[in-house]
Amino acid sequence: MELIAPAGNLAALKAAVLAGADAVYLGLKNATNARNFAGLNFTEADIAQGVAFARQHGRQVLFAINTFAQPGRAQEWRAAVDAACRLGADALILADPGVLAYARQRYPQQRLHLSVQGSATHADAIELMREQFGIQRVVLPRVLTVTDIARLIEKTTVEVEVFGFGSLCVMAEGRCLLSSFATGDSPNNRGVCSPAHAVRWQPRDGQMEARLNGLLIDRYAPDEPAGYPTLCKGRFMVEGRRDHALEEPTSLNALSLLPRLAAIGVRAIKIEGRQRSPAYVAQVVATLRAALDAAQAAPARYQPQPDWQHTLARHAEGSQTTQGAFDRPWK
Amino acid sequence: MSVATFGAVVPPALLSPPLCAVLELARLGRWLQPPAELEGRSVALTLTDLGLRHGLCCRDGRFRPHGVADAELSLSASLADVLLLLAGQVDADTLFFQRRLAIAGDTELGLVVKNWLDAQERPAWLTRLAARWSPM
Repeated sequence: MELIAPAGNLAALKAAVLAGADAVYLGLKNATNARNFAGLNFTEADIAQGVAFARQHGRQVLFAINTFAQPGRAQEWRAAVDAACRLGADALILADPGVLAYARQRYPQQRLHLSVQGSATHADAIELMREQFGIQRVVLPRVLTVTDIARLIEKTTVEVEVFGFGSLCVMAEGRCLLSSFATGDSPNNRGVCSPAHAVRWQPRDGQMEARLNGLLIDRYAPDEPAGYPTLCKGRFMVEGRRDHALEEPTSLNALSLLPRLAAIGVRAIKIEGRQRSPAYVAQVVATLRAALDAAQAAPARYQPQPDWQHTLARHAEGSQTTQGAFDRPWK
Repeated sequence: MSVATFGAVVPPALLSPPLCAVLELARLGRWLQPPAELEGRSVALTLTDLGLRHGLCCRDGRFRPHGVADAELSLSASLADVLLLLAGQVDADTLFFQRRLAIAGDTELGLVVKNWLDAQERPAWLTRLAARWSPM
């Protein structure tokens, strides 16, 4: 299985390549990708250097252009496709069918991946995207069990990529509009779910308040672990009880499932976190690289090492790591 | 006098120049070049374990001392964690999740500072030196 690493800047791209990623995914500095954060992402000059660096090391660069084109602004998304192809993308990670159609018609030879934001969760949807747009790979939404994924792989010729580590959200992937109720911005229209301009952390009475456009979404005791300031992870008063109304901040960790995922035919494991630093990228990629190598060398004897789990737990958002939907006991 | 109360008796105005001098050295050494987005912006940095507060701003592409009280952004962490951040050895979000880094004021400016620090490539000698500090 390939290891796909996030990069929010050139330093993170180099860290990912040196730590053993097979491919790095990145975004341009605009709303065409789902991590449109202040000061993050690549200028075209950085990308040229990054692509050259990856090529020197025999690795690939994937371009995430995975938000949905807004009415009247489709040209921005087409321009992003043009830029990615001009800069030497090994694949484009797309979600919007209109953008997929443009990329396929204009660049017939370009490799296309259907983004997790494209929200294709069953073989019929994936095969339709292959027939219509010639996608070569699908990144599966984080809502399927390993059994679901195994069945799906049997019914499609499209390569399957799944997430192996990183922050989770409520996973209305590709269509989450929750934060727009508070801020007017969402992943779909601006590439960001809690835009920094709307976020405030304020100390009050010995606690830290998190506010989104003035709305109180959480309050942390002094040593309580914090999460990203999103509505879905906030704590609210519901029926007289203050708790996570939708979801507790949680990170996915599929380390123990790697041999199973390989055995059912998963082709690539993706790490979340283009907003994270080169230090995170280096440590998480190195850990997953060691685990994947061990799983490939001797799958039957594979056991996640305690120091791998320790490294991943250190970087996890929230107070726990889970296997997410991969292993839902109640399903 | 304990170390943590040191800052209580030393005015920030006397503490900011040394911090700026360190950042200016880093700038002249070409591993911390301030981006255009930081021009005219101000930050207060509190070293929680030492009880010290520094104010600085970026003007004409250089780091300069600035008042703590009217800084647009306030960052707080221990000296060891600040050094790890400056050396690129630790992830700011990880420190935030673990409550080792606090941020108040203009969050977007905080993100610009974070992403600027993340994007800088440090010289090899600094990476080697920093690897000897407590790794996390």
